[in-house]
Amino acid sequence: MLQIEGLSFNWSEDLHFTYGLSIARGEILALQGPSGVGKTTLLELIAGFQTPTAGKLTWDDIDLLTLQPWQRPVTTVFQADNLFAHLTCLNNVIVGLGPKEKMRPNLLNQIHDYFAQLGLAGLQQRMPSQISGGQQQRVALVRALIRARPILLLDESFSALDWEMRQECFDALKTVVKSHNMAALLVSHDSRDTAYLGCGELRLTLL
Amino acid sequence: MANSSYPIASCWKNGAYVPLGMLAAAVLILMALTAIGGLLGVGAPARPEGLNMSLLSGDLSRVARVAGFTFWQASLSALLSLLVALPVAISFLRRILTSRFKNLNSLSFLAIVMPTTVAVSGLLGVWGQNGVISHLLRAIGANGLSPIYGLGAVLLAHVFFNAPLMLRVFLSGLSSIPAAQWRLAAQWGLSDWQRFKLIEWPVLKPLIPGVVTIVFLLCFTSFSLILMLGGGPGVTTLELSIYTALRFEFDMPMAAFLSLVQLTICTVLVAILARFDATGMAAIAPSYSKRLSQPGDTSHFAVLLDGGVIAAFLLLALAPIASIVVGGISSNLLNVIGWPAFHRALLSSLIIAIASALLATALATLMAAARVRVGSAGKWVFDLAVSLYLAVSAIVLGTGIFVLLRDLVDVFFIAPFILLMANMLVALPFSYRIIQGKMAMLAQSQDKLCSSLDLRGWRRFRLITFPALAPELGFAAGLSAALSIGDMTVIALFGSQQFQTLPWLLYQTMGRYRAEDAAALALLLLVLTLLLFGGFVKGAALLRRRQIDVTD
Repeated sequence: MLQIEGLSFNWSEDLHFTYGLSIARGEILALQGPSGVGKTTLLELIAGFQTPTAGKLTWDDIDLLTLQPWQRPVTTVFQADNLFAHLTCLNNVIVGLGPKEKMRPNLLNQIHDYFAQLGLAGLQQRMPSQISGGQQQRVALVRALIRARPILLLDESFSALDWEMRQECFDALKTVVKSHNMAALLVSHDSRDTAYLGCGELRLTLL
Repeated sequence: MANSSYPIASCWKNGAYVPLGMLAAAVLILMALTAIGGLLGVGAPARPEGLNMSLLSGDLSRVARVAGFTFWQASLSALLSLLVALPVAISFLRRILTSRFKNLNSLSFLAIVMPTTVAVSGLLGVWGQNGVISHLLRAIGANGLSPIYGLGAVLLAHVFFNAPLMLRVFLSGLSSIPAAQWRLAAQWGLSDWQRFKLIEWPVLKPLIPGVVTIVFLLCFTSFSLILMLGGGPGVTTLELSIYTALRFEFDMPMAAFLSLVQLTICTVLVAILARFDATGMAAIAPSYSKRLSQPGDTSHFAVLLDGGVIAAFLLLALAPIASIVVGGISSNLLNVIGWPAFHRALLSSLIIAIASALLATALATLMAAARVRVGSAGKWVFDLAVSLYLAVSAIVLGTGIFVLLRDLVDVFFIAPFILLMANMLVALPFSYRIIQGKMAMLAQSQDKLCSSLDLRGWRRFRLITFPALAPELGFAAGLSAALSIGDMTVIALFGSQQFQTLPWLLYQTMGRYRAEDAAALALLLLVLTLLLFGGFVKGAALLRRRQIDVTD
């Protein structure tokens, strides 16, 4: 379980956020709220890109605050710039496996299955510049799914996709969250997302 | 509760970049200070034969006169280059960048990488007493041109080199104008003047102070052009006076004093340049977007005006190159290729150019990588260490090294090493500026992603940073190699019969009035420069395109 208690961060003297929430394994939580309310900041604190001023952040009772971003059991799909422009789509996925993980034939098959499942069949050897922005986001989702870290952070990752394609991504997301027993935190501005995912939602507000 | 000692926010500040970069910066600053210290030591008032004695004997007025002329010619050169580059940039934007002739723009880049000795040969071939224009004038019964020496020749040569550089910077700026603005301008039917005022000028205006300062600085420290085209005490600069004092008058205190005057003025200029943070050199790497056709583009007046401006610029930039090619292809070409002196100079030039280019690029990459990873309070260290070598010109550096080492070793014996180091240091500010901008951009867009994917250290450099940075690395190395192979500054101080480079051989051949041999040698040097520059740029492009194996 991902547990956050009194996790605080100050952007400035006037702008500071404090968070508290928990997400169980196999659960998806949608984070909502107006711009500037600190949704992305929360994701960056969990991923380790920002240093909190106080609070607790644990995963199955392991203190994540003592770990570097690459040591945390986290995968993030950002709003944009998820792919390296000089690598093919397939290599963009493989590069996410990490230096210690070896490429196995069944893993490659799994990658191809995800490509097919997310409407990306045949695009494996394309460069990011040769596919649309929506397709790029889906390639990033394939990488997140194949990395299978137990905490998945999605920062408005699908907001650029049309509703039909977003549903397909959500289907894949739901499947993998269940099958890998992951905890997913999704920043979303669209109430249809939570309805389709059938997940809990947390509305952040400025005090 | 978390405490501030967590290394979380510094997650991408890993590896050895910062300590190694700091070490390199410290060595660079120390080297510059040591050279300056050596000069100060020679000019110390305690030495009876030193600086003060020289100045009391009336040399101060000479120094003031030389500094005044240096300032005057650099001001005029920068202003004229600006007056040429601005209208050409607008005309190129309208006519060339979106046309099938867009490669003409790349040709103008030849002037930037061309060795000064070769350029002088080309300029004489066009504008000289026996040049193409004189021949044409005589053919129609008019008088030929007067010999091109003195201030006019210096200005012509400086504009030849620097107008294309400014053009490159301005075109990069103009190409960054969003397509939406061109669409709006076309839709609103803006006139040429309105378009210039509302769209083009706001982009050009912030670029001008930085690029004018850097061109002023380049002209202020110009050496070989003045050596070849100056002539007489009336047309001499600080750089040339340092050289004369050191090499011919053996007046070490005067050389040291002139170096310090030059250093002081250049330091002020570099401080001014730092204020503008020239987009300048970073922007000379080509990258263009399309401008939409606008109303009025097809009017006869606009077509004629642009055509005239472009033709005049091409005559200025390309005619000397054509003259070198035509003049160089002769029976003397094979003869020159057979010279043992040519073989020796070729080998020295190639080794020094390639080594200094690789060193300058590696050092610039290391320092740029360290700069993006160090906290904002520490960035100035890297900028200072590199910018110092804009202020400490090659002649000043060479003089400092000469002063320091003359009692310890035979400086002519270690001349190749001094030349290699000086060329590397002179190229460093340009390489650093080209690489640093892209490195900062990559860090901003990729740090979080790489960190979250556990792409760190050598693996990140090999798989991610190097391929993304390859065009800038190739460009920086190509430019450094071109600057090095064409350099005739430090070699003028340390060159000898035993150690020569191609520009020095060309200069000596020109000095012996062996015009046809010199023309052949100029062509060979030009071809070699282009091969080196193109080799680095293409090589980097090939490395970028190679299939990257991410599984190992």
